[in-house]
Amino acid sequence: MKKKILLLLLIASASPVLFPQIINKEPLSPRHTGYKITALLDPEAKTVTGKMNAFWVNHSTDTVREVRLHMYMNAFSSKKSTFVTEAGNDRLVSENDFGSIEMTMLADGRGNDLLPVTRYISPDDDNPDDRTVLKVELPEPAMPGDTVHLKAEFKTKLPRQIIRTGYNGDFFFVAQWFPKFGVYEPAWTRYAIKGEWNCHQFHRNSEFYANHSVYEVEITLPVNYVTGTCGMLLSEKPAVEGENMKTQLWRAEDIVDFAWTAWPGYAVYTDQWQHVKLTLLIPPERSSQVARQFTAIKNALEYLTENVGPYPWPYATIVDPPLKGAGCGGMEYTTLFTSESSFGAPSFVHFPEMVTIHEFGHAYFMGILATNEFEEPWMDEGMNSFWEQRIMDHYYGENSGMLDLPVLKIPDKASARSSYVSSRGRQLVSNNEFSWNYPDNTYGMMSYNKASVWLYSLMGLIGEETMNEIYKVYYSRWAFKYPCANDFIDIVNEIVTDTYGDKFGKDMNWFFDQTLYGTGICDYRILDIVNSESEQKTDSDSTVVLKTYTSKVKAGRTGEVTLPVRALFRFDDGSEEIREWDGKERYHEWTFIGRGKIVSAIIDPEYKIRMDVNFINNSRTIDPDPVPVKRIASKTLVAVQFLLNLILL
Amino acid sequence: MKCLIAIKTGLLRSLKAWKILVISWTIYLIMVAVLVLPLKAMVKKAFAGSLVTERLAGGIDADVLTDLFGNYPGIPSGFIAGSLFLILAGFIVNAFITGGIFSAIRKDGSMNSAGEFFRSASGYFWKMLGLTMTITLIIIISFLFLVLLPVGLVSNASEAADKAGYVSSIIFGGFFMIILSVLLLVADYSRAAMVKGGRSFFGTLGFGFSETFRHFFPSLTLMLMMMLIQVVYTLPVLWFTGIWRPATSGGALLLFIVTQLLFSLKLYIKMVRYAGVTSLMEINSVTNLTEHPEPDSIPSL
Repeated sequence: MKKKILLLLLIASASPVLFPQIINKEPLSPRHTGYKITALLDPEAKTVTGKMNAFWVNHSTDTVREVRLHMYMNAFSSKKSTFVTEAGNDRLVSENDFGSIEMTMLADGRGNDLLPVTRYISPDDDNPDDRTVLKVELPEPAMPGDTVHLKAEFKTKLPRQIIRTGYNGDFFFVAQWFPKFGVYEPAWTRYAIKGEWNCHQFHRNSEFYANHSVYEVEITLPVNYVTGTCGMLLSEKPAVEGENMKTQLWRAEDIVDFAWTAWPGYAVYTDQWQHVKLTLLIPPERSSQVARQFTAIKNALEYLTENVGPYPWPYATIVDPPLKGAGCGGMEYTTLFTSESSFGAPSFVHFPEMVTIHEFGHAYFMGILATNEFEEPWMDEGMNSFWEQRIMDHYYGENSGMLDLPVLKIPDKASARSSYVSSRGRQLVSNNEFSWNYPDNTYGMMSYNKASVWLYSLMGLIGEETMNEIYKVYYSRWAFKYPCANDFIDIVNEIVTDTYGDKFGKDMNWFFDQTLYGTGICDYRILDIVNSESEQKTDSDSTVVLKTYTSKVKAGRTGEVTLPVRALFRFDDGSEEIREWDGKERYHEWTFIGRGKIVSAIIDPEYKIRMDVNFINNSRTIDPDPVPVKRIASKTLVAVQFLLNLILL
Repeated sequence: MKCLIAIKTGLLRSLKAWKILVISWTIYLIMVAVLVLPLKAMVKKAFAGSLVTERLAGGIDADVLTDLFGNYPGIPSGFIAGSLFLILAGFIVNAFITGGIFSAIRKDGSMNSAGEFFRSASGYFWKMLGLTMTITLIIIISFLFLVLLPVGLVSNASEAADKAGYVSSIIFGGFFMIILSVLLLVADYSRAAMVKGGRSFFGTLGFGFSETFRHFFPSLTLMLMMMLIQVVYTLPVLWFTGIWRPATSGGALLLFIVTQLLFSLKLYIKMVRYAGVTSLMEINSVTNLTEHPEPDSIPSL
């Protein structure tokens, strides 16, 4: 065992030598993979021709006989690909819709031709027509500590804009465009019980999983194109390919993917937040949106730095694609992400801010904390939505994070709960599902919204401070590593136990068993309030009679999920009392003798258990206030009258 | 100038026909209450003494709305079905009452009693309904072809910038407002001619078109002014209604009374439009006779 640890330490310390540091003084992650790519964009043919020198280091103690490469762009090469099968045949109609990646040369470090020993495999669904995972048999096995070098030449035909990649006219968003290593997971990494490649096919509902890598990418394209990439620009010079061409050298470290965009029409704005240089690429006519975008990313940087951990790169690039590139809006590539604003977007709708904060947040949730998006989508989308909603409601109003009108305010967190509560499919499947296995269009609702809702509920139970502490520890322990659900749960257990002792039991597994791994719903309700009056003499001879009340409050648990809850009781003398309930029984009764008449009772008075699917039945009063309903009725009445009068001639 | 005189006349005639205004308001109130009162009962039952109503003190609450719609399916389905029914009923009832209104606001129409109103309303009902449906259909088709289609094409053009979509929606939207004004003029002239009598259904419709284009600028100016007044009036009223959140039963009653008064004023503005166009038609008929005297009206020498 000691030998293995020493070997791993040696490998980890030796890896940076393969790619000397430029951006950060020290590598943020062990050097598993690295890519040097020269790419030539042909705007007419809509192709990127590339040459790649890549390496993969066998950090495991296994002898590895093959490598696996993602060939994502082939998802759009055939109507029989797994992506198209899942997404529907209408996705690829005309010739321009198709995209592909073709390897024209592949060799190892010694020059051995590897093309004859490659073959496409489909580890997820055995689809013989899917060509998104390429298996390469190594002529010589990679021993522990060995570095596998690959030299490749490839040609990527970009599809017409589809799920946030491709082209539209002279607009290009170039993502999933080069042969990319899968992740080799040694035994006991995440869920692997033996060393194996984790390299999934391209699915309709899935994103990515990759090692933190070093990228050095040289892009040659016409001089009039404005570019933005995941990297830092190291140099720009006239290209040897022609007079009107230029070559840019970009460098990125410790990120999980490399994407770039090119369009002649971008206006470029820059700003600074502490150590981070912010660059915004945006159509010129949207200049009124620039301040909003920079404010949004600064808010996210501030909040996440304070409550999770530092943003380690000295730059971030926001791309706000033009209308013709709108299909590429709302996507994340760690140090580069796309937002979605529009000309004249009203300031009371915080949608552009929401997208910017969400996509930037992915720099943490799967950028730094590199979870497997294929297998555990809630760990990036759900966690990131949770943080996005917290940031939005913190900076743009607790009740107006999403919409801020005098007559209508909507907090961002309400949208997630609404999606979950009103979904027919909320109990079809648990949150612990591979992304492409979510049935009946429940992927978005489950991985983004249900997860966010139960993370809010967890915060409701343990408090905001403890929740932040959990994330700080999660960050410090797992930054630039590959955590899975168990790793997060272990930290929750640890911090909650440290903070609260056994208040919530020996651990919090019971919570995750129900929320992450379970399909039940949570619904607590107050069933009835009964106040029984009795008269008592102060003593047997006294004529003084005291009225006393025996009050009972009956509560029920309609859902399957059991959570400890607090109940607040108000008495007729204005006093209040809080009682705790472990929430386990189906039926519960509180009795108060001589305490006074109970006026109202409410379970979870601050509505912190946001996964409770019905807040309305959480409470009951013996003296209902008729005014709100009257108010709603009057307003609805006059609104409908006006509307009707408007549409009738 | 003609249009200002017409508006002034419209204001006075509509004031004189205040009983008709009250009848129209009552009909609207009953019609909409048919939808709102059952919904109110359902919402009241759903809340059933819940304290969640405290969250409504600040206005609409997204969580409460979600729970109302998600857990009490009768409410959304009742609202949708009721709204559809209301639109249908609205067309029919509107066709009914406009017959009465146009009869009441004629130059020689001194009618201001319920009996006369309902008699006129029922007498013109089918023609009014046909006319309303015809013009509404033309408006919908115009909107599809003059706004949605061009804006969609511009926005989806491969080289389009989003500013183009925005600007085109303003341009085509503005153009549509002109078309809408013209179609409303056609409708109003046709209805005014209908109650004047002597023309068939298509005759009145043809008259509506010819009158609109024969006196295009004064008519259009009048209609645009009336539309502007309606917008300037409606937006603050809806804003005010939205932010007013009385906390007591007395306040809620006051809200009901004030909002209904405000709606009555909206009905009054629409009546002014009807009366204004009717008055303009009457002014135009004098002009028509002067410029193109009909054979019968030429005094014999």
